[in-house]
Amino acid sequence: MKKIYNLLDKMTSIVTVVMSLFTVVLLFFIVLQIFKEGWDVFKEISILNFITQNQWRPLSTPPKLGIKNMLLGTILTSFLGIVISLPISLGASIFISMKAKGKLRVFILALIDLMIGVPSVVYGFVSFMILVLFFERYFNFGSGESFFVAGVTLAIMVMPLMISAITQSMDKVITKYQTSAKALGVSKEFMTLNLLIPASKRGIIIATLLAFTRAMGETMAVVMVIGNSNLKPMLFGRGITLSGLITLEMGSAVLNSIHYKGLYATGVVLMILLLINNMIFEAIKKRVNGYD
Amino acid sequence: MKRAIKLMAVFMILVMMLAGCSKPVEVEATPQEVEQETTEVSVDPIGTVILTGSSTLGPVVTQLTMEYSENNQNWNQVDSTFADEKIDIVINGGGSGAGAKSIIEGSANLGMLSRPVKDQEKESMADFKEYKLGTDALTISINPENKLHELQDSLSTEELQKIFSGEYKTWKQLNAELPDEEIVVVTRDIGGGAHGVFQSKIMGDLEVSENVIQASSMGALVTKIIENKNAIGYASFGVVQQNIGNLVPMKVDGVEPTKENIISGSYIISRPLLVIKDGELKPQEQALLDFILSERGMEVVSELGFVAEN
Repeated sequence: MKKIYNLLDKMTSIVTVVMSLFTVVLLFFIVLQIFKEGWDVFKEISILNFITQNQWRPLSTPPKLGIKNMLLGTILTSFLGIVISLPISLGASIFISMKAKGKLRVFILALIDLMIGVPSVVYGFVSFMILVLFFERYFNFGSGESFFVAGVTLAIMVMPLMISAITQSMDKVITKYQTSAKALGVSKEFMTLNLLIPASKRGIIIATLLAFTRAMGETMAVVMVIGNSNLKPMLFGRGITLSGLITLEMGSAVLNSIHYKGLYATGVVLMILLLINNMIFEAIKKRVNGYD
Repeated sequence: MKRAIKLMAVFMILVMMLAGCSKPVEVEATPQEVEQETTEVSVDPIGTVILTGSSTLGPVVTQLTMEYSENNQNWNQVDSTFADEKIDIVINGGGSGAGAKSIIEGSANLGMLSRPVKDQEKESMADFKEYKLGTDALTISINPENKLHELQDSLSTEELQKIFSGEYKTWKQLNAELPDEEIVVVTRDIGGGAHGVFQSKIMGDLEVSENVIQASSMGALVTKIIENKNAIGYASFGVVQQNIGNLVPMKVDGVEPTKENIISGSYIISRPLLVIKDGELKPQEQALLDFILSERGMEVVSELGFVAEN
């Protein structure tokens, strides 16, 4: 009997390792493909020019490929999304872990899980029909598409992610210190400000960075509300993001043309951006000491 | 370390097993097909039929080929002289350029184009043939609240160039009686087929302003015009027919975008929808093409918003 279990144990571990190796190999080939297709562009245009020029005219002669506006646009939308969603998520998490008990808590957590499952087109469409029109009707904007609307949309989308991550780390802190706090007779408010938030600092930072990565990669919802104009990023102006550019133009780019390769090169830049973000993420994870 | 090597070995074996899966089947299949051909059937089996090209024409052809292979499972149901093989049709996108390229390279049976075939492309083909399914037209549409259509019912090419290149920034600059509000220009993605037609027929060498809103689909473009009173854009003919009253199509150089004008070619912002081929059609390809050009085919072309050829 014991032998069978040992065998099963080994088989499971082998299957797991094979599967994860397979994933890594697959990922490697995807990255390889993107680099292979995108690299040719850098023979004609230097990387520096590619990311510091404004004009994106891949079909003109000579083609102009500059993604500065999209690069800044991607960073600005994600940043806005985080700035808006962080305070709200923090508040929501404190409420869920400190105040909400029993059925209410289960209900709220279920709703938040549901929010994660909503497809991004739906968020994009709702925000196009409500926020964009709101700015057009009541603020007299020529067109309501703007970085601000994109930021708000992203904030709503990453909020459930942040809330569930922060709540998890806060729950851990509470289980650990609740008895001591009660024994000392500190108020809930004092505990929240002086124990809960500082102790779950690590969890909050990790949740923020995760949400940032998620926001940078988000495509469809942003494409629908940002206007896709190659302009200098301004809070209430139209703009375009890296992933948005790829979605918009990949379908019509002629195979192996400079346009097609330029879009792959845009993908390379986006990947490098995400990589840098992940490296910061790892560095902070090691540095910051959590109490949890 | 030893364990890692073992694991790698297992992994490699798995990969090889997966890779080995498909080959033997093919080897077995080929002699069978050859046998069939010599004994009972007079027409060579065709294998997978591949259609490559325009994403505009894609939905039309996809719907038609789906109906075709639902109606007849096997080719010999279409015509008893065809080989007894399953109808297998694959549709690839990639745009009109890819459609022409696939025929030149011989990687597809039929090419789908939503623009005229270039002379350069014709030269690369020995025996070029084209079949026209219909015409797609872009109408310059504005919001009904915009007073422009009451003041003038036509826009000239020159006015359109100035609007789309950003020279006219407000409606007042176009017509002094209009309010001093921003012109919100909506386009499709600059590299796509729809924009290509607009560029060649109206803009010529002029570049479209960077201030335009690029819609991710024709649906999004039309929604924008319906929702924003200062918007102007090129909505496809079919979508405009479905939204009469919600947006107003303008005349271009005095020509109204009607079916007759589009077919006769006097309305200039239009493009043909073509299926092309180099050399003789195989019997199966001919049968499929006959279905696409049949009454039902034309029905689908109209349903999806294009002007059918017949």
